[in-house]
Amino acid sequence: MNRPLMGLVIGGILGALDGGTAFFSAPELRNELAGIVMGSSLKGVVAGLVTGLIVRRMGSLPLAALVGVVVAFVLAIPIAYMNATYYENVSYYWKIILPPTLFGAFVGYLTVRYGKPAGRKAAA
Amino acid sequence: MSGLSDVTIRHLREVADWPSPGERYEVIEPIARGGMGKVYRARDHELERDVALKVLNLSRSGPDAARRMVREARIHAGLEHPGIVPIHDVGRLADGRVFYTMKLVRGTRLDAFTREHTDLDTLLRVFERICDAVAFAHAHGVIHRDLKPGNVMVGAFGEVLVMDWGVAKTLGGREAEGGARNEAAADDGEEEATGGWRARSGDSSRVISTGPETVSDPRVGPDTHPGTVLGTPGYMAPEQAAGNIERIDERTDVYALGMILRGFVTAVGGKPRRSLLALIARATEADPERRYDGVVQLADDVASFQAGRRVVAYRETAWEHAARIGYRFRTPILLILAYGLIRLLIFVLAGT
Repeated sequence: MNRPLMGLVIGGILGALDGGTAFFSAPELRNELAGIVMGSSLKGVVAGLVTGLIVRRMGSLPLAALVGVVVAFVLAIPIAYMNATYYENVSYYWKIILPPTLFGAFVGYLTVRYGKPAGRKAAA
Repeated sequence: MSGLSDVTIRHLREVADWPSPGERYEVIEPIARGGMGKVYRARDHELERDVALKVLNLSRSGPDAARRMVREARIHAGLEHPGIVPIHDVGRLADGRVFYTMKLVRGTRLDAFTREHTDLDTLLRVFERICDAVAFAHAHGVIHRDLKPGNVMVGAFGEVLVMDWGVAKTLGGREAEGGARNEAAADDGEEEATGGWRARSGDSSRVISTGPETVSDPRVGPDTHPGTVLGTPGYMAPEQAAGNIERIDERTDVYALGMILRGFVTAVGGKPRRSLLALIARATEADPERRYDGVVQLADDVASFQAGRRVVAYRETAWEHAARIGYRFRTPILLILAYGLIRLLIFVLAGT
């Protein structure tokens, strides 16, 4: 599987898992859990795809993890801002930014570790 | 009548031995020598490049030696692999001696390389490349029989070349005997070697190991007879040291490779992992039946060791197994733990 696709899949799965943890971390939002999981998955898919595109020729795993962190962090900021403003709760900043940022490192790492780098053709 | 001095005799011998390979090659300087002959740097005027030219000494140029030389060249030429020095040409000098030319290798001999690089990963990568070349030879029915750090060159770009196929044995029955090659000279540094023969003493641009020399019997004919000992003490498998020709096969080279690996571990120092020691012990078992079946299996185990996978030669405990898996997947494990910690903190803080 090429790296952008790998990033997309891993990002989607981890995004869904991360969204699902809101069940515990934000009990007041349990009735909105489906929307949170879908939104988080979508964010994970986008973050994974962007990470996969950036790291498609990368050889360094730590660097790939760093790319994942940065991408996830940047994507999480506007979502955290919207939620924090809408619910008037500043704690959403770190609740929404911090965990996915760590998952971003995971996405970057796994994408480079298991994704096929660009420019390498499959044997006939 | 006064006798000639040793220096004069040596000079006269060198002059008499100096090859005249015709118009194509111009012999420039000797770069290595053995009991049976010499290797020279020569200029190939046709292709405008320097080559190594190996030729028998005049005193050793009987029909048997010539046959051995041609046979050696043919076996060597049959091994076309990036890890084996390529042969370019074979021919006869005007005086009837056989010569062959091959690539002039520039680089560092493995014994010198090991002194300069004490990082185990680097050395194991080199080792895997040696295994690639030797496995290729084995696949073509050729056993090297004299694998040692002195017969491996590491190039400036990381290329690894296995040299000196002079005592190689073909499993089909043909053999190439380079003959006695016991003369040594020594200094340290870089070497331009060919066929692994001994570089000239006093030439500071080349290296020679202070390690053990190849042992061989100059009386042997083109075929090796039972009881003939060819190889290098310290790297020779027991069956080879005993002259047990019948038992020499791929596992004889496995033993020598195991000894090279042992040298790496010694050079690196520190306390080696048990699995690596077990791997070396398996490769250097006295009984060939208990060694790895071939170089491929040895190389696979080395690759497993490098990748943090289970090594066939070592039966690990449950704790060692867990520790190995943990170390192999340390990055994802750390990331999961960090994520779990953050989630736990958020959960705890959300409850307050």
